[in-house]
Amino acid sequence: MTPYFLVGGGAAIGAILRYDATKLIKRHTNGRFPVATLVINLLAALILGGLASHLGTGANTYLLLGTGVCGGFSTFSTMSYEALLLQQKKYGRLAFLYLSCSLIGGLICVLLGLTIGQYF
Amino acid sequence: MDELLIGLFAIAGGMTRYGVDQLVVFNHVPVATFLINLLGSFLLVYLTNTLAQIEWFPEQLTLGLGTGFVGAFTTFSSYILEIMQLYQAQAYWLAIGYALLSLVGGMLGAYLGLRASRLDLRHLARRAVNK
Repeated sequence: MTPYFLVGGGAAIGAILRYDATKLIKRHTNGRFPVATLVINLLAALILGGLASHLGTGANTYLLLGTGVCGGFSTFSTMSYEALLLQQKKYGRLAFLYLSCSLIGGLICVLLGLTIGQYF
Repeated sequence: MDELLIGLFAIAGGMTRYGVDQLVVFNHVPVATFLINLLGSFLLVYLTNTLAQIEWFPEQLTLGLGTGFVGAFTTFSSYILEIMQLYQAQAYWLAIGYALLSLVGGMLGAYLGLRASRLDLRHLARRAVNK
């Protein structure tokens, strides 16, 4: 049962951080592009990469901080929803750009995290 | 107050994700995250659009279910890490397929969620008129 509590507790912290970070970023940005979710997801990918190479994916600390906090902090469903909303409002190119930035940026961030994690 | 509710629902969302991760094991193919993200994209759009239209349904509860439960259920960071792991295991086509199918599938799920919520509301409205 312990893994479930570690992941659940971490996810609660992650989701609250996501909610507050989204509000904070939205206050300082304007425009149609969903900057908040993008920043959050890229940051989560960076940290998860660092944790994976530093702790290994089997560790209890990884379950709490990686699967829990990073997993709850980052979100896939909101990204899909935001991309759909852009596409429905005839900003198809912006939706494509958003998903491309998420994927390519995410891969760069996770690689960076994996590399940094090895040195600490 | 919003934070408390989001946190509580996120515990359930994170635990469900971990449970599905443990149940759906398919060699080294990340089927669990794939299914979670598709289903979650559908659920988020369906729930937010349906519940927002039901007057008596508390707004904070919608936030808890959407941002809390579904938001913590789906995950972007593991999705990206898994693509990188597939790439490092030299499963290049699988990495590309997983990456792109998730994005397309997520948008399709969100679209179906929107359609489903509209169907439901029309049904509810018709029932209200008939009463």
